[in-house]
Amino acid sequence: MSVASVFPELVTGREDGFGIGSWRVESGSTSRGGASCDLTRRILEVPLGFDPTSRVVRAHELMHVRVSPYRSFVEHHDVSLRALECAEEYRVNALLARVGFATSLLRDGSEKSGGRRIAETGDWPEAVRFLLAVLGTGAERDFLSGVRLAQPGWMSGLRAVSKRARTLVDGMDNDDLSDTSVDDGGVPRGYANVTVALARVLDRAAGSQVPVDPDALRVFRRSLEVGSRRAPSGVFAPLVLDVSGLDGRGAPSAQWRRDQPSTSGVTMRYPSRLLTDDWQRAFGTKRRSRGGVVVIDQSGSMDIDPVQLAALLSRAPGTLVLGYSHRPGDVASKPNAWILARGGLLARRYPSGNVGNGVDGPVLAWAVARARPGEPVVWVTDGQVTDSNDHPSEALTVECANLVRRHRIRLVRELAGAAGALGCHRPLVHSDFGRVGRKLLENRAL
Amino acid sequence: MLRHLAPLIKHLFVFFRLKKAKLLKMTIWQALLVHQSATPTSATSRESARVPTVVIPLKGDGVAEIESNDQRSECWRDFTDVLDAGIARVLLYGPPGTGKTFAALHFGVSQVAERLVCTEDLTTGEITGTWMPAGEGRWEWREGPAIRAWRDQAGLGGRLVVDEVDRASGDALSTLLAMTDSVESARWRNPQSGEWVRPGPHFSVVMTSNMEDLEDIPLALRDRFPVAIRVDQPHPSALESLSADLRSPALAGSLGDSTRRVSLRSFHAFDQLRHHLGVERAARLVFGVSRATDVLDALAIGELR
Repeated sequence: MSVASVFPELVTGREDGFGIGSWRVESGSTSRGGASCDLTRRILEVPLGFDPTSRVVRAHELMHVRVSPYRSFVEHHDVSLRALECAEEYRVNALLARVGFATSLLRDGSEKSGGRRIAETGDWPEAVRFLLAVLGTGAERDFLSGVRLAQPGWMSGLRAVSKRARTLVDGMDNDDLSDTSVDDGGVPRGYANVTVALARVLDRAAGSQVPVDPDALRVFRRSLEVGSRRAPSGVFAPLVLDVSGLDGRGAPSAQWRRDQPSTSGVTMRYPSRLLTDDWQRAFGTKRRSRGGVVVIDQSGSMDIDPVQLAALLSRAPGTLVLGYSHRPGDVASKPNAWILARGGLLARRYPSGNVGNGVDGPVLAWAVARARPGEPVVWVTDGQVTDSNDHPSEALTVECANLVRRHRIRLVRELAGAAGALGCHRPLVHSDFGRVGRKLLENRAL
Repeated sequence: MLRHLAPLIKHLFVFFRLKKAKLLKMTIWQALLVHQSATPTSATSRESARVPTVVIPLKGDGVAEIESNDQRSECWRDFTDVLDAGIARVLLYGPPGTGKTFAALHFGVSQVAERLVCTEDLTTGEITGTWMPAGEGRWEWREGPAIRAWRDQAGLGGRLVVDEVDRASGDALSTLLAMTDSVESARWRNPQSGEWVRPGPHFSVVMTSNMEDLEDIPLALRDRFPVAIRVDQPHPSALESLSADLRSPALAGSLGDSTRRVSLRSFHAFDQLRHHLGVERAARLVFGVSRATDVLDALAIGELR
């Protein structure tokens, strides 16, 4: 049976150092995922039929050969890999349409059910990203109609995303879109200026709450503009804990003695005290190590004062101290919590904050889980709780207040007060702890 | 006067006949190359077998200028470096349409090279020479291209190019091995004059083969030709006569596997035809109906137009 040909070797014009070379062509299909382009190993998997759809799918993969980077630049940018993949799909499809290929043929019939499934599971981020991957193709309408069946309220937000992406790409000519010359960082310019910019839009949209009312939609639209503030996400960021500060042994904190003299006991550890000590405390008893977990909100410009931290450890040597702060909009690319002290050892470096809170709830839950039975958890905070985009959130504040109440977490404003809070058995007054304090008082009133 | 002009007139006649026959697919220089390959075994005089320096749209006056090292791919750099170092036996192999023969005929040689195209029917007579009727019941010995190359440049020796050497029969291959032996070992006796002939000190041989793998080439031949270079890209000089938009694809066109390979000759023909017949018709005629669309798609995506 005769099959069509594909000529990846003839696709030239790149300026990023991707030299000419021989490709391996494998037979693929027109279904989603049935075609691929591996630039690193020069393998092209494409359908080899003579039908128009196969031809456009082949052209789509050839466009990847023409413009897509041949190595990963994920680490260069603060965007997620999935967003980059979907944004690159849109750039390739946009170029394909401009060259004159019928991108309306790029559909395999699975998009409607796929869109419905994504909407039914409430996966808003994937809905946003997949929309961009099929934008401008025959699959766009099918996908949106599938989403509409399960989540009609998502449509206005999705339309805002597609409009923003189209505006961004339509404002560029072919040369800008397909530019493979590299910038100072070695990244192809077309990829950096279009794909990465689109991926940022995607991550912003995916990290936001679904805009349901006109006000929220206005904020959402504005958040998609370059340099604007992100829209509320309504969720905490996932906890990304950095323990590298304690690599090796860490710096020893003030030492404390594990035994202390006593007037009674089993072992006479300090016989000399029979002569020298007025109380004749010659026995040694195990001293109960004072400890607990101290969680420090490092949002804003708050830096850790090493003197205060050392003072805390001298009074409560066994304390586990954790700092946290989340960079608004970050997609787990940067740690948002770090160990400052553990087991009497101080971290060798104290990271500064990442501007936002963003991860209060997960950090408190982690601290509660790490505390030994009977050990207190102290939260050094101003009482503000924000989501992953650093917007105050009523629901998240309630979530934190519930954690505080349920696990008797002690709130202090300054690190200097943490040692006292560890040893304090009185109920603390929460009225001056911002939103969390107010929620605690409301709960108490109820 | 007429005697001197006769070879030239005959030459032009052959050229235009070939040009007419293959008008749609050949450029002038390609036609001349074909002509040259046809002449060594023809019954013309020794002088008429020599084609005037090939007219190609390149720099220089007949001998292709070799570009600076930076512009050439590694295989071509190897070839010119080997010639510059004085190696007189080189085997070029690799996919067709990359200009191996062109390079063998023109690089590192100041005069016209003698050329043999091997087929299964190639006889030893077509290599060393044959008796030809000379009229009035007489016969005279006509030396073949190998001996002519030995004697070239007033006895100093010239270049012998042996194309598609892997196709030669056993007898022809044995003769070729004898003819391409070292200057010290090779000798041949003219059956008419009894003269012993030896290759001139500057005699060189370049063999070409379209084989992909060196292992497929007979061991005895490889032993004679210690330097074998795989040529998988056209020489940049050969691309200059193409329109600018086709140069890069043509450079890479020979790299695909055999079913997807697009030779430099095809690009030349396509370039010439598209101006007369339009792009799509030219592509159909040159690349074939089943491949034309995909070749054009790849070119359009490469150019983004």
